[in-house]
Amino acid sequence: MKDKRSILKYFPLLMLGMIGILPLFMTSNYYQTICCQAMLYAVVALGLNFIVGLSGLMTLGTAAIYGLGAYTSALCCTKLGMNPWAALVPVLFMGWLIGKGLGYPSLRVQGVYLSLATIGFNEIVRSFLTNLEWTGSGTGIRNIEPYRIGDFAFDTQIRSYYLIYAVLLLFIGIAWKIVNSRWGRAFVAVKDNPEALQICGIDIANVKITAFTLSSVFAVVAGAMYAHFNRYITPATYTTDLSISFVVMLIIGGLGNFWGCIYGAYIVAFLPQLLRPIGLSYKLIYALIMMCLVVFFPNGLIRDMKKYLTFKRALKGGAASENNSQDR
Amino acid sequence: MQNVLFQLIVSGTAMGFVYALVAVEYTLIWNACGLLNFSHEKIIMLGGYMFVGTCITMFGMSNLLSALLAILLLGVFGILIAVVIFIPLRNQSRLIAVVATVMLGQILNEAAVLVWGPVALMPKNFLSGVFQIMGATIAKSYVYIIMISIFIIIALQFVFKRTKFGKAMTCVSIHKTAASLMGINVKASMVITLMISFMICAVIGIITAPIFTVKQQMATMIALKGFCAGVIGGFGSLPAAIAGGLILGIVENLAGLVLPAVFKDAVAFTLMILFMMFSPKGLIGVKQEMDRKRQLRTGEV
Amino acid sequence: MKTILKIDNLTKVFGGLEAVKDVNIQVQEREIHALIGPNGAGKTTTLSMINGTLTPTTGKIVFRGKDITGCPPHRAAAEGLGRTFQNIKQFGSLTVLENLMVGGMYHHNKGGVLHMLLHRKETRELERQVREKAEEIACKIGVRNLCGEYAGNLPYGRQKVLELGRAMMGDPRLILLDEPAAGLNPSERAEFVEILNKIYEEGIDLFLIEHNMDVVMNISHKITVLNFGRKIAEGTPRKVANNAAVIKAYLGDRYGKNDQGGEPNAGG
Repeated sequence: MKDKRSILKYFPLLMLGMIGILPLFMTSNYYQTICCQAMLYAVVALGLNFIVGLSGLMTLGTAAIYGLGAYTSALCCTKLGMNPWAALVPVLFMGWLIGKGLGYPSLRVQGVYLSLATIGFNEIVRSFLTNLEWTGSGTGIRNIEPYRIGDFAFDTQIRSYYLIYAVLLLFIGIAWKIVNSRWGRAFVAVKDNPEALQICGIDIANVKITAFTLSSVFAVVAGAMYAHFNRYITPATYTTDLSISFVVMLIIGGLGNFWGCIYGAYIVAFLPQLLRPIGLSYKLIYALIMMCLVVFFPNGLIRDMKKYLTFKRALKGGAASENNSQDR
Repeated sequence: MQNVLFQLIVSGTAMGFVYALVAVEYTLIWNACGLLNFSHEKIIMLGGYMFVGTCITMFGMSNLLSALLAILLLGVFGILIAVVIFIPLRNQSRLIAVVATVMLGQILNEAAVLVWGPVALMPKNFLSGVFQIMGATIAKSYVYIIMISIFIIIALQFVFKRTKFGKAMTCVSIHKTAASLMGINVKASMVITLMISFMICAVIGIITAPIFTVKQQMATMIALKGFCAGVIGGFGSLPAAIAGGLILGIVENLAGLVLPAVFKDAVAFTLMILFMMFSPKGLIGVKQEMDRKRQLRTGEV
Repeated sequence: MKTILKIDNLTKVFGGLEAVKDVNIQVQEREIHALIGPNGAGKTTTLSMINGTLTPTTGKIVFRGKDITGCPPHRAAAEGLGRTFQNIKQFGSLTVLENLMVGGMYHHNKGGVLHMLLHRKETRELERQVREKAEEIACKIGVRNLCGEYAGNLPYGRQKVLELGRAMMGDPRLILLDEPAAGLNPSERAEFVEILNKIYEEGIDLFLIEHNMDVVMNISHKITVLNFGRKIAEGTPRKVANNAAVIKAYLGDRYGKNDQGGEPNAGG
């Protein structure tokens, strides 16, 4: 919205460019896989940003949506023999359906109740995926075919990487358009003051349901991409812990901060892998770091860092720059 | 058939009391801090590990003594957590607090693997054996669970209704600012509430140890269903939480007769979501609605 | 003279309490109508029922010939009913300009998100229109230089003005104002009254609750007085000021000259 004549303006472009050339430096398959995952997480986080970041609703069922996207696509391909690209149609429909289905409860259920209801939703979905025969029970679905264009199959790490990168760019574009439009403003308005939004002639039910629908469409597409990239899915992936991780990405990036979703996703995807050499206790260290990040940087890593830095500068003497900029 | 039904009802009631205890335990924190403790699952687990892993196995103490020491240790841990996490986060956005407590749970979980190992532990000769009542076989542990739960609930009621401290805590739950203006130390009451709550968690961990064995996931389901029980009963009220827990325990056990056992868990969550949709205040809401209707009817006549 | 808002036998019962009882009010076009009364008289409740935040227990509300009883607030707003609140309800994390643009979203919106993404040209056009309008209104209410500021950081008086501006963005025919001058200092109050007059001259009618007698007596053409949920008087400011029942309601028994009871005093 506002002109920020600083180097920070180019930070997002720099970040996207770096993601683009990352495989040149990270040649190991293992790290490229993590990168792909991080990008998919970023897509989910961008979608979740509409609900949690902008509209301020606490939903903790995103992993289930991500999983339903993966399963819909995988089942359409393996059971119905559909082309993976064609399977995107039922996947999108699924996303739309989940969005509406979760959006309506969110009108009646608020605050912590919504977190509980969505956790319940997550557990129900996982329990069904684990126990139904035709979703492959606990073992999940194997041998999912990759996306292909003509004879060109996206079956190696590096090919998948650029496919997912393209998807990420596409969704960043869409999300950016929405965030900076009348709908983006409406989402923030729902968080700030639903009653005041109503008297502007806007149906808040519609706004909330739209937020949920958008978010679940982002999540199902990311889920479907994951299914065809990993080519193997199990219900054990889609736990409440994953849902929480998605929210943590948003918090690390700063709630409501558009570009924060992306670096948040990268931090959450990479940190455990970087800590792995520590040995047995790496998960403990990871959880500790996450907790400290959440407790000490509740407004997002970069935003709070900036605040601490300006605060320090102010202490050193000289006028502190009255820059309360909250980038969205 | 009748015996099976009786067995199911007894075990359902016992599980119901466990859910009720869970609901009570986090309702206390909810009332005192306005936060939900999403780590309570791991606190219950910690109680179980302290009891079996530390006190019985490491110190070689008797069962009863171990149980008491475990409860005491968890109480101290509760004070620590109150000071480190709950008090600093009380004015933060709810979402941050939720995630922070979840992270606390993960930390405890990982710590438990490192300290006590990945193998499930089982207390020996603790609440084991069966009763034969009216031709039905009832595990003794269920009967003990019911008795202990009733004792704790009565004790809590006494504390809240009769003691000055209990009344102060009720004030805090109603309005923090007003309570602090009236000279009630809100922070201290938060610390004490967390201590009590964690002690109840320890009790839950101990009494369910013979049923679930002591492992990392021992409390995952009861913790989530405790939330369900709270929602079904009505958030923030102790009697309602107990009613919700009992209903949930019995309904889901009976549903096991009709549905495949694996969907038992889905029943609880479906019930919770239904309640949230149609009566967000739970059973209390249903009761209020009925009272209001009766009032309207009698008022019009 | 045409009636723009007609309220018939409006009643609201909370539990056993009759907050508003059988109130009849007619707001005429081209008139500034004020609703006054002691604390707890049911003024805000009445206003909330008109704009749909509360559902009336019984009674009927007709706005521009259309029955809007029990309509949700967003529908009432769509009919051309603006409102401001007693305690400011602002979108604190949006800028002043964005606040105004949200106010105009209803008239500059078409279809859902998908429609918006697919019709880029139309979207850009609508965005431009709403921005221009917001800037125009920002000038009118005197916050042009604060457009980029976050609404939450504005001083109280500016926030009140901004809320009025947001209501105007919806092209209302009638604006309901809940204590617009409360908490303003005398100079801010004078400025606010000036803005109200400007709005009125543009052809928007006003229906306001106000405690500040300066404001009420200065700008309103007609006053309705509520006490304990009932209408006790109605008429021109001068007439109401001399009404015994009103004086009694405000000042107590000792000052009521002759006991006329709750006889509604028709006039105007």
